[in-house]
Amino acid sequence: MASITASHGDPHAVDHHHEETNWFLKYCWSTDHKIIGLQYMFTGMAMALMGAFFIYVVRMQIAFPGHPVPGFGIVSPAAYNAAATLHGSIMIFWVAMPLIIAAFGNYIIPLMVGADDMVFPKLNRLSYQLFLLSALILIASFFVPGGGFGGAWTSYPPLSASGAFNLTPMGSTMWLLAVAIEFVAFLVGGINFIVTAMNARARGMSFTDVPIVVWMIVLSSILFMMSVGPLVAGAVMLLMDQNFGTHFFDPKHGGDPVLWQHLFWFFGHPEVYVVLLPPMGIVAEIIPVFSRKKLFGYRTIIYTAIATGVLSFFVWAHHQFVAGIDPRMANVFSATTVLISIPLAEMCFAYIATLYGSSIRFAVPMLWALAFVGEFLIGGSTGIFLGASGADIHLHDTYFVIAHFHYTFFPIAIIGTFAGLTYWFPKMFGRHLNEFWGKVHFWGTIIPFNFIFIPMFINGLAGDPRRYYSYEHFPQLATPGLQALRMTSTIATVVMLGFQVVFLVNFVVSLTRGRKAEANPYQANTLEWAAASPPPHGNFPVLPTVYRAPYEYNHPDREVDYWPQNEEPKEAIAVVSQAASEEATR
Amino acid sequence: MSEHVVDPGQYIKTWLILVLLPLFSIGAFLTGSRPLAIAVSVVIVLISTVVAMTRFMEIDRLPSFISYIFVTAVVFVGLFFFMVAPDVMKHDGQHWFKPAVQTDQEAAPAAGHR
Amino acid sequence: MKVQATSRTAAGLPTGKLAVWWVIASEVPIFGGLLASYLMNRVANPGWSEGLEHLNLWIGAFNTLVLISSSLVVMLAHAAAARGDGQKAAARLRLTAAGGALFLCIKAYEWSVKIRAGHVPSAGGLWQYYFSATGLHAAHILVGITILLIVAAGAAKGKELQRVELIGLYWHFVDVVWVALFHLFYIVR
Repeated sequence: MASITASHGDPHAVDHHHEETNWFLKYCWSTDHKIIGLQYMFTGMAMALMGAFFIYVVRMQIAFPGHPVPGFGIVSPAAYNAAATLHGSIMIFWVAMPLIIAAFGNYIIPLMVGADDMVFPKLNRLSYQLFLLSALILIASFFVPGGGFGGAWTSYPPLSASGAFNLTPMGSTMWLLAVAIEFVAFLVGGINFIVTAMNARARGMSFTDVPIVVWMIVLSSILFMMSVGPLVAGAVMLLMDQNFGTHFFDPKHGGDPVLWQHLFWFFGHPEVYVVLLPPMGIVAEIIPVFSRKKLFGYRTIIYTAIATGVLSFFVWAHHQFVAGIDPRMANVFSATTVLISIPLAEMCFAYIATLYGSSIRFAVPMLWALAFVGEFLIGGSTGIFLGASGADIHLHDTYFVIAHFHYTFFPIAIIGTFAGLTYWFPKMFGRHLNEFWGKVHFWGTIIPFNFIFIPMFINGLAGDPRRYYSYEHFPQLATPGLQALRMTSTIATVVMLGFQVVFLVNFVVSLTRGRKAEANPYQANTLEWAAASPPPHGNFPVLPTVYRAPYEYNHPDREVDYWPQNEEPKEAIAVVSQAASEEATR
Repeated sequence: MSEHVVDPGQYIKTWLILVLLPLFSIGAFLTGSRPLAIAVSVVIVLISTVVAMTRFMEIDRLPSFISYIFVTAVVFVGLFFFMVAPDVMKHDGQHWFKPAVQTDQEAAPAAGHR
Repeated sequence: MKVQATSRTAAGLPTGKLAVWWVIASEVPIFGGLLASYLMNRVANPGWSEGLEHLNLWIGAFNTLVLISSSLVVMLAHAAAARGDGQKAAARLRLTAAGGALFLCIKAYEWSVKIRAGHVPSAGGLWQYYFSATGLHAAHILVGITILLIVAAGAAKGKELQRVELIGLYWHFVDVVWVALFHLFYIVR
C-alpha cells in the first residue's frame, strides 16, 4: 500500500501523525483526500476485474455456445443475462466513475488548486463509505435466491418491475438500491469537488489559471448533479413498483414503461458526458507536458465543454428512437444529437493543434493520451450513424451500438484511467512504473481492443442483436462468416485481458522496487508537481501562490522549457507576468 | 459571519406574507372553478417561492451565479416536462393504444390518426 | 483537525453556504422529476379528480401553516446565532425540529386515514404519486430534523454557529417544496 507519511515540519500535523497510528485509522478511516482517492482507485480496479470476468463469460458463450466456460461452467440464459447486465452496470457505475472522477478527482484536485485537502474531509470519507456500501450490496445480489439482476443496465420495466418476469425479485431490488446509493455517494463527493475548486483555490489562481482537468471534473460533477434528479425519482418509483405493488410503469394499470425510459435517459445521456469530460481533462494535462507546448485554446476547450454539457440535456431520446416515441420528437433529437458532435470534435482538434509543431516524447502516458484521441474519434463518428433516426431503425439494439459505445467508453474508462495512472503514479507512490513493460501493456491493450470491436461493427450491420445469448437458432446470423467474426472478438478479449496482468505486475512491483521519483520528474507546471512525491499530510509545507497560467511551456522569455505556476517571477519578467495575470483575471 | 443586520421584525413580516398567500389559493379552490384554482395556484407558488428565497434564504445577497444555478435546475425540470409529456400523454398511435386509459375517459378515443 | 481549505472563500461566499446551495440545486430535479411525472399523468387522467376529493384541504392547510411557522423559528435561531447566542439558537432549532415532527405526525395520521379507507399506493394512478411525493418530502423532513438536532447540539456548546444558517437554508427549501406539493395535490384537483 502507499506510504503517505507526514513530513516532520508539517504545520497541519496537530494531532495524530507523528507517532505510529494504527493501520485501520490511517488507511481505512482517513479523511485525507489522497488516501480516499486511493481507496476509490483500488476499489474501482477490483470492480474492473469483476466486470472483466463477466464479459469474459459472455464472450465465451457467444463464441462457443453451450460449451462450459473455463472458470465458470455452463452459461444458462439467465446467467448470461445477469453477466451482461452486471458487466455494463459495474463498468459504468463502479469502474468508470470511481476511477476517473473520484480517484483522480480526490487525489489531484486539492493538489492542483494548491489546497491542503478537500473542503469537507469528513464528507469525503462518507462519500467513499457510501460508495463501498453500494458495491457490497451489488456483490451481495449475486448470492441471493434468483441471483443477480439480468434486465440490462437500463433496467426497463415491465421486465425490471416484476419479479415474475425477471425471475430475480431480490436481485433486481438490490441492484436498484446499489445504483441509488452510488448516486448519493457521487452527489456527496461532487459537492466536495465543486466547492473545493471554487473556494479553495490558491492565492493568485483565477478561474483561467485552473488546470483543465480540474475544470472538467467540476463540470462533470455539476452535470451529474443536474441530471441525476429525475432518475432518482424514477428509482423510487421503480422500487415501489417492484416492492409495494404500485403501477408507475405498468401498462395494464395505466402506467407507462416509456416514462421510465425518459427518466432513465434524461440522466443516462448527460451521464456519458459526465464520464467523458474528466478523461478529456487528463489528456489535456498530459499532451502539453509531453509535447512541451502550450495547450491550444484553453478557453475554447472550456467553452466547448460547457456547450457539450448543456447540449447533452437535449439529446437523450436518441436512445428511444424505436421505442414508440413520436417520430416528430425523433426529428428534433436527431438534429441535436448530430449537433453535439461538434463541440466534442472541437476539443479533440484543440488537442491535435497542440501537438502540431511540438516536440513529442512518446512516454507511456503520452501513448495513452494519443490513443484516447484516436479511438474516441472513431467512437464519436460512429455515433453519428446512430444519431440519424432513419439509420437507427436498422442499427438500434445491434452490435453496431455496442461497438460504438465501446469505442467511446473504453477510451473513457480504460485508456483515460491508464493515462492518468501512468502519468500520476510517480506523484502518488514516489516511484516510477517500468517504461518498457508499460509500452508492452499499452500495445497489448490497444491492438486487441480494435480486434474486439471492429468485427462488432460488421456483425451489427449484418443484424446481430444485442443481449442474445446465442445465434444458433437464427439462420441468417448463424453463418460461418459471422461466427468467425464473433470468435475473433472473443479471442481478442482473452488476449487483451491477459495483457492486463502485465500492468498489474508492473504496478505491484514498482510500488516497492520502482525507480524513486523526485517531486517533478516530467518538468511540468501544474501545482501537484510542486509537492513532494508522494505529498505529505497537508500537501504543501507552505500553501503555494500562483503567478501564471498552467501551460506555459517553451515560453520565449525563458531558458528552460517549462514555467511552474508557483515559481516566483523575477524582477524583469515580473511586469510581463503581472500584466498577463491581470488580463487572465479580467 | 453575517455582516448585515439581522432583524427579527422582518422575519415575522415575511412569515405573515407566506401564511396569507395560500389563503388566496384556498379561496380560489372554494369557488369550485378549476381554471381559477390553477391560475391562482401558479401565481401563489411563484410568489411564495420568490418571497421565501429572497427574504428567508437571502439569495439576493449572494453572488449572482447562485441564482443562475438554481434557475438552471428549474429550467431543466421544465425541459424534462415539456419534452416528455407529449409522449407519455399519448393514448394511442399507429397500431397501438393504451387499454387501461380507455376506461378512465368518458369519450371514445380517436382511432389511430397517423 | 481543521483543514485550511474549508475556510477559503475564493468564490465570494463561505464553503458551507456554497455547498448547501449546490445541494438545493441538485434536489430541484429530484422533486421536479417526480412532480413532472405526476403532472403529465394527471393531465392525461382527468378521472383522478375523484380520488383527490378524499384529501382534506384543511389538514393540508394546517400542515402548511406548521411548516411556514417552523421556517420563521429557524430564522430566529439564525438571528440568535448571528449575535453569538448559541444557547438561544439551540433552543429555537429544537423548536423548529418539533414543528417538523408535528408535521410528520399529522402526515402520518393523514396517511393512516387514507390507507384504512383503502387508498393505498398500489390502488393505482393517483395514490402512488401522492404517497411517493409526500413520502419523499417526509423523508427530507426527517433528515432535516436529524440535522437540526445535531446542529443544535453543537450550537448549545457555542460551536459551529455558522451551521445554524445553513440548516435553515435546507429547511426553507423543504418548506418551499411543501407549498408546491400542497397546491399540486390539495388545491388543484
